[in-house]
Amino acid sequence: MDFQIEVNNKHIKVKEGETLLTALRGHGIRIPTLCHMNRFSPTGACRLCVVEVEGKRDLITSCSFPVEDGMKVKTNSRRVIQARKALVELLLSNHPDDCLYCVRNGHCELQWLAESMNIKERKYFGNKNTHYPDYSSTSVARDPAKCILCSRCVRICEEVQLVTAIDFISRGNQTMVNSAFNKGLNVSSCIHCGQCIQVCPTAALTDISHQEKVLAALDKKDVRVMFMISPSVAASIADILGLKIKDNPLELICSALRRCGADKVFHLGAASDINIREEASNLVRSIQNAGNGMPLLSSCCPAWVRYVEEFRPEWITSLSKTKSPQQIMGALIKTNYANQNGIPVEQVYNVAVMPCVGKKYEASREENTHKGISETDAVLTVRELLQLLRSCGLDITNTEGELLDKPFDQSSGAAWKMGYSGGKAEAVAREAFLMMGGKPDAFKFNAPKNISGRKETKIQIGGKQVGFAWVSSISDAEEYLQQLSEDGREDIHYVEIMACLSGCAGGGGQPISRGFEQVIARKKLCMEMEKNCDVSDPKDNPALKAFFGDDQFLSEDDEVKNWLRTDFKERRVVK
Amino acid sequence: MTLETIHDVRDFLIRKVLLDPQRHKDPSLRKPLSYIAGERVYKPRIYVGMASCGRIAGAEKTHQAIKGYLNDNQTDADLVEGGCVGFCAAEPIVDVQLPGKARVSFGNVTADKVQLLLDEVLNGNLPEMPVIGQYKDPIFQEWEGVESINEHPFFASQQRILLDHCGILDPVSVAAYIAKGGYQAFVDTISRHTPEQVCNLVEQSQLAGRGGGGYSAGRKWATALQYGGEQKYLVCNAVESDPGSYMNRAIIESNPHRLIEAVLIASYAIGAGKAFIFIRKEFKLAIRRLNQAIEEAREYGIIGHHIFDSGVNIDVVVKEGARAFVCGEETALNNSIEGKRAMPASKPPYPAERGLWDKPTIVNNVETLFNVPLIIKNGPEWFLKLGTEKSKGTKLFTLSGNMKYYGTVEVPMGISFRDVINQVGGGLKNDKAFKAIVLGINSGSYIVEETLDTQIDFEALKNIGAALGSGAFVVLDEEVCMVDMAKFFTAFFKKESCGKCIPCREGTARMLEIMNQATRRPSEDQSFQTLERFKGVMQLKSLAGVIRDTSLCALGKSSPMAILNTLKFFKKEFDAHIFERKCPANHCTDLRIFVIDVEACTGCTACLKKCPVDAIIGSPRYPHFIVREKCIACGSCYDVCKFNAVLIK
Amino acid sequence: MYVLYFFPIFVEYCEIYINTKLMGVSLEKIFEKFPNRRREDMIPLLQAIQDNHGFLSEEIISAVGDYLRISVNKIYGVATFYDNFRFGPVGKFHIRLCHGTACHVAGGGSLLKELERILKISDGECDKQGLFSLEVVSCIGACGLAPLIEVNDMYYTNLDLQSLKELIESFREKENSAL
Ligand SMILES: Cc1cc2nc3c(=O)[nH]c(=O)nc-3n(C[C@H](O)[C@H](O)[C@H](O)COP(=O)(O)O)c2cc1C
Ligand code: SF4
Ligand code: SF4
Ligand code: SF4
Ligand code: SF4
Ligand code: SF4
Ligand code: SF4
Ligand code: SF4
Ligand code: SF4
Ligand code: FES
Ligand code: FES
Ligand code: FES
Repeated sequence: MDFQIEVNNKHIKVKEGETLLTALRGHGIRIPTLCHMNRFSPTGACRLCVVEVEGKRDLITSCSFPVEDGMKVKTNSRRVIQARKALVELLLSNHPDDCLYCVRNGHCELQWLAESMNIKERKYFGNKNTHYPDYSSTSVARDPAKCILCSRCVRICEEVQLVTAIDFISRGNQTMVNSAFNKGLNVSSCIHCGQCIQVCPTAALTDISHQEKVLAALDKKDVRVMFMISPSVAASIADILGLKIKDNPLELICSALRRCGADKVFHLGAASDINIREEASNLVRSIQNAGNGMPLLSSCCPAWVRYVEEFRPEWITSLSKTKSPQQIMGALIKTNYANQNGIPVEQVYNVAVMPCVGKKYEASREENTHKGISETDAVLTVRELLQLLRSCGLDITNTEGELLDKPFDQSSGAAWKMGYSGGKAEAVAREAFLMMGGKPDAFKFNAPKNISGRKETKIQIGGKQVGFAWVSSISDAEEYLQQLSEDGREDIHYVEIMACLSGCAGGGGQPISRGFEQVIARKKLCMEMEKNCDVSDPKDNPALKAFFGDDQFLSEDDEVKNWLRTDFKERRVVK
Repeated sequence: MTLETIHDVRDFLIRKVLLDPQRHKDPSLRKPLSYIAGERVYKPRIYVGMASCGRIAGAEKTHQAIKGYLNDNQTDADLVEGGCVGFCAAEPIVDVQLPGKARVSFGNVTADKVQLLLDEVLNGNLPEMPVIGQYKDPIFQEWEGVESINEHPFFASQQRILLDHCGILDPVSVAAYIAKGGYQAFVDTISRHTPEQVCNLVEQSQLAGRGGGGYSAGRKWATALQYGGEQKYLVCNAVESDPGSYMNRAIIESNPHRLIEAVLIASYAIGAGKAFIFIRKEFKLAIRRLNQAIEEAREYGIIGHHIFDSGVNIDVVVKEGARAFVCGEETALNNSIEGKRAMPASKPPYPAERGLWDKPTIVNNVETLFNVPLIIKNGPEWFLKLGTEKSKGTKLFTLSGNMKYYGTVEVPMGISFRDVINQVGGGLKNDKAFKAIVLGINSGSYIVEETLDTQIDFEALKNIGAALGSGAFVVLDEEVCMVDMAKFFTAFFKKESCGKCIPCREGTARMLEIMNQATRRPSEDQSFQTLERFKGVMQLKSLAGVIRDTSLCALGKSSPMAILNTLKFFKKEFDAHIFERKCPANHCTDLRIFVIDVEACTGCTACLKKCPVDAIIGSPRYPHFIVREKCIACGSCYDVCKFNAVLIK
Repeated sequence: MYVLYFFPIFVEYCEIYINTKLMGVSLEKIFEKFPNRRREDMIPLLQAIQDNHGFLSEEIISAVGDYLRISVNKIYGVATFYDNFRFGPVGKFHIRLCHGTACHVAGGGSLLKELERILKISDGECDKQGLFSLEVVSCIGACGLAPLIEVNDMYYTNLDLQSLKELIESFREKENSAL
């Protein structure tokens, strides 16, 4: 049913059951919020969304208040404006005056709020909290002093990722968001998904920066820095800098990185192709050996892997043993490539550029380190890449693109699919389909319309009905897999699982997103760039053909195992 | 009819009293019932007031002594661990009832007085010690020269309907409670009324919530009833963490069965199958007695499955809170029961719609519920006759502060604050002048000399900008510094804020800092701090306004009230702190500077011996000096000097 | 034996082995009383453990998390919210000082300051010798006898600075003579 309400002396139509905030925003009326999260139940904690409603003694919070027919609302009365301003001033009174030295300088919601409320002088002097930062994790850095206790991270970590690595500790003025026993995040159950970073309005949660490490490596004469750029990074950069597809953003990034001193710039999509082929061939093998209960679970998302290792060790055997693209390429460069080119392995410094903070953790896993040499030495997030470009004074909107370095200079279209939820399932399905003699034109995959949520589809492969499914976020994955085993279903053979909402398009290393639209835009860009690729199937990738010859990498010898396969083990942590 | 075993008594009570609608017409019941209730006795019966307050005052030792006495003298007498009549000032209280004689009550019976008391009293003589009074009854022989307890000034102005059994009945005897008419209201309710009718009766009585909000209990119940659903909950809010009130605890300790009866009726009225009594873990005795009472009621078949074949199932569970003031807020309370951090949730949705585990839940205060069995039993008309036009019934208070008498009292709505102090409280002690009444921390209201004649009534209080609060009633005399009080309250709120919302979490801290600046030692003031002090004070009012306006729950909303009220009623005192850097009540230690007047000082060394930090130097018979840097301004020297040689600057 | 390793900072993760026999308290015995392992059992369970053990250690909280299948962090968050829970042992003399309205008016505030001064501990702390620990509570419920403190379930009422000091001295003496 429709309601009529009056807002700032103007009548608008709203729907029964929606909250005042949604209704107002739907009509383009701006209401500041801090604790509000779309699709989460309101908590009413920050009070910034207050409005005045005629007949109500107190100001009410629009995010939690359902619309009532005929209500008269003022969103910008003096009382409201002053209250909001005072709230922000109170927050600032307990906030370090650190903007100039802050990672979020310029992207900070608190800063924007202070600016938009016209706060120009310090009003309340008081004792600030004395929380110490925590850099113990391999991926997520925390600075609780900058936390404004909006609870967004706590909720996403608990409700979406089912991890609860961080929660409110203590009470009142002493409250802080922290991991158990106030120990570092390293001893917590954090799975390194970085979703908390994405939702944090301030710099209380950021990534562990590898920038300095990379710059130092670039400075060293005897070190050869190899950049590996994930395709989806190109999409994000294109989105945020407004680049055109035809300019080929990947090549623009490549040229900029060379200006920074990169030795080689590789296309990580080439490794994605390897990963897809390997996984597809495993799948084909397991289908042929008849169903053994649990489907094959993708393992290229380190956060998902970590989740299984901590919380669901019984699923470890179902995880695909294929390394993630980042580790495949890291290992390849330090073995085959270094050998072929006569570079001592100590001199190789691999830097992956990723939409993901979990990859920082992945690079540090002991499984990915051999005799003290890590396969990947540093991982830059998209945010760090942008920062790096800025601090080096490189404007990629104004440069000529350059071709990437051989041998890993291109990918198939399939590699671009890894950038969003459902993409990898499709790529693996297609590859398996082709492997079993399917004709490319005959391949039909009901591509996901909506990029989040659980999806399934079935295709005929080698005369068998094979089921594929894809989910993003741990909560969906848990629910889906439990449902599968409860229902005793054996018709699903492969499940792609991404820890981040909508997959890497919503990854923890992406530029801080201002909404879901941005995630969709990144996905769209990935899809468009996919179309721009010369070849669409991983097996046709000319770069790989040139490097390996035909299908060489699918062999089973030990050397291949080293760079292609990995292992998982149960981890007992404070959870 | 013989009532020899417990089972006989139980069968008798259930059959003849609870389930028999004709019970009122049967005069033959009266005598056995009065024996069961302990009104008549076969042998001497001694009650020791053993509620918490009595225990703190030493009732346990008294009880031990009496036990020893009875043993040593081979006296055959009953010794009862009683509840409390609320007269804390007279604790430990011992009542003695001899067969055929009226019950008589003695105050301040410490263990050493037991011998004297019992030697005399058990022989029918009055000992030479203060008597509070006797419970007169035509069927008993009176004690000569002892006044009726109802004429004692502390009791005379009270109207004790909720407290009627407190301190008189054996608190943990379900038999005694039933014999006095208990559980009849509940049994009648489930056999004769529909839940709608119960809600209506309570709404007609205009019973308003006593937990602070004053919302109509009947209307609240009706809301919950209207939401269907299999599972609903009733929660009795016995958190009572207002510093300065403990009347809920006292009545639970003294009459737990009435609370259980009320909880049962309320659960039935809203269709709840499970009721929680949420109580602070510190109230150990109350919890013990409640659990004991629940067990007994269960044995009688009053709680549980298919109660008295009516098809009604109600379970009552005691939940122990883990201490946080905010647990008293109903949504926070629900969270706490669910095992979460007790952070309030924004309303709507109200708990009556979505409360515990998202099911309709009614949260009611102990005192509110205590009224219910009486209303059901006597009818709403009876209740409407009590109190004033708009506020019905009586109100419990915990009287404390500087008064002659103090304790748990029950007064009719409509009595003025002045009467409570002067009549029930017997006036201020030591002839100190009255300054203010603090009405509970949540209301943040002060009653001052000008408003002292206000009636205790929701409307009347609203008119003077105050609120009744939960029932704390602390009387402050002239020696109390109101700035210090405001500081104390603000510190309390800062500590108890749950930390969820910005205004309360940050605002209370900022207000406290501003208040602290106001009372900081002047010598430590730097010039920029002076500036801050002035700035802070200027902002105090607007800051308080925003906190009041935007806080999520009532805790935050009431946190600035103490400051706002201080600014309203005690502006002069406040200004003196800020501008003259003086505390008119001489309380704020940091603003006091002690010096010794060398002319007046005789060198008696009394102050030197008393000073806790050795800040005084001097030799005997020569004038002494105070070392300013060492002095912590405790005031001991000032108090001890007989020659008025210590001065406060 | 119950071992729980907390690796120092910069270690990627830690491993825990959970065994439920602990310093004389058999957690299993207490767990048995909560067979349903529900969220709402958490607070009563923690209370029961604390009643037995005096305080909640990290090991205990981990064990409770394991038993209830609730995140340890969640439990820690809940436990730190409430004043009842302690994370370190109490002293031989556990002093609970009332700082309710009535006690404050009667001088409870200066008693608190004095205690902090002579014992050199503040609210929630225990001194190094393990002799005294201090807990500030609001309203013990005997406002008429204000100000008062409770030491190991004994009440000491109508105190002033002098009598408080003497009381503390008497505790010290008691301890010394016991040695
Ligand atoms: C901070 C805070 C503390 C409260 N403490 C109590 C309390 O200790 N006891 C109580 O009965 N109500 C308390 N209340 C009021 C309850 O939220 C609720 O209004 C009350 O229990 C409803 O019962 P009533 O309708 O019977 O009054 C408190 C409210 C707030 C905001
Ligand atoms: S978090 Fe925001 S407001 Fe805080 S210091 Fe950083 S940029 Fe400034
Ligand atoms: S914004 Fe203002 S304060 Fe900051 S650097 Fe620029 S001029 Fe300086
Ligand atoms: S990175 Fe993921 S798992 Fe770790 S704290 Fe953040 S949201 Fe939780
Ligand atoms: S860390 Fe960030 S997201 Fe989490 S509560 Fe603090 S400000 Fe909010
Ligand atoms: S979904 Fe993608 S971005 Fe997110 S953690 Fe997994 S790999 Fe990283
Ligand atoms: S007003 Fe205070 S107690 Fe209430 S929700 Fe906000 S922070 Fe918590
Ligand atoms: S006020 Fe107290 S500390 Fe100061 S000199 Fe007198 S006795 Fe000593
Ligand atoms: S008590 Fe008074 S007279 Fe005696 S030494 Fe002290 S100041 Fe002098
Ligand atoms: S957005 Fe509404 S209270 Fe925070
Ligand atoms: S006498 Fe019972 S409360 Fe004090
Ligand atoms: S305030 Fe101390 S006992 Fe009530």
